[in-house]
Amino acid sequence: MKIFTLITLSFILALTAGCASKVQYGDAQAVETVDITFGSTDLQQIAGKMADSLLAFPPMVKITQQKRPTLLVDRIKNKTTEHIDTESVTDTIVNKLLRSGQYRFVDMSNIDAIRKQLNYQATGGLVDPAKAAKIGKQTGAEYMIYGNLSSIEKSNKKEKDVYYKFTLKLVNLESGILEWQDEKEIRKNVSRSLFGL
Amino acid sequence: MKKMTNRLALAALVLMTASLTLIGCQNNAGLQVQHDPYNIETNNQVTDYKFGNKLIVSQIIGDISGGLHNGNVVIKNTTKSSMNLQYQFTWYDQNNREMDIDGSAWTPITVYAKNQKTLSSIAPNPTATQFRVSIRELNATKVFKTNLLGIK
Repeated sequence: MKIFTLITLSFILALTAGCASKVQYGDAQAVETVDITFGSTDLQQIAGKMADSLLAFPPMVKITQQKRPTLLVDRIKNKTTEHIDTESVTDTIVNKLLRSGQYRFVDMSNIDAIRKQLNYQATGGLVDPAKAAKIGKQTGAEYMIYGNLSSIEKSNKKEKDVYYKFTLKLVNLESGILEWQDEKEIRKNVSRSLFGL
Repeated sequence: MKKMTNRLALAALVLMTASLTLIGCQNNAGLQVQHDPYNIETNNQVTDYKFGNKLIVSQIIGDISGGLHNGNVVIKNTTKSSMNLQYQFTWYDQNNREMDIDGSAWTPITVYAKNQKTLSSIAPNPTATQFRVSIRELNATKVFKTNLLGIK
């Protein structure tokens, strides 16, 4: 009977010990390896590589020495099986490029609100016409950024491997010439043993 | 009665083993990633260029491209096994003010045995003129290690 009590107590102890939890703030810049799916470190690596590559690409460096080209960000196609917010990736790339002072961007994501505001200023009757933003004065983008994110997943009983490839392109809107393209590859894998030993 | 007790004990043992197996397989995400932070500065103040005896910083290059400073650091793994590391570039202006107070992202990198890799970063803007690289070991990037209770 003593053995039975001992085993039951050990069982309860094991369960309660595994349930302990604590909440704390972490470093947003730290490497994240919670699981194998697309994570913050992947996003940061992709954005860093793409922004650095574009900023250092000699033909674009030559152009940015003369003027700040105006760029437009189109969508990034998510070809993976995961739900990934690709707009968040492009937002980080745009942040880095804007902070460099080498490029300017037109924001098409909020164009309806901008149009509504311009119409309000022009026809609402409440804004001083001398101080209203003029319609038809916006700057058109010279280049468009777009790309895609794809993945290949492989797994067996012991291991799972995922390979991500992010490709970004910069095309000249007037000539249609692909001026720049680069890609970032990421491989992540996880293996487990039965008892985790 | 004794037979009954033994059966119950056996059942409890089986249940406990199954439970511990499940706990042991859980993903232990609380990673202990850093032990010895290591810093290099480009302004000729390289104080220690060995990561223990395992990693050597063989080159530190800073140049300007398109008005932006570019930092390159070549590291060499002197051991006979691969090293899983992470690094972070921090950029400063002429007055030693940190450019991005939120910090830049740590980037994971694998350096194979007796091999070398170049770490590089472009300054966030033209006012950044100096950089610092921090390199530290990255643990548990591939295998989630747990003990029987899922705690380690």
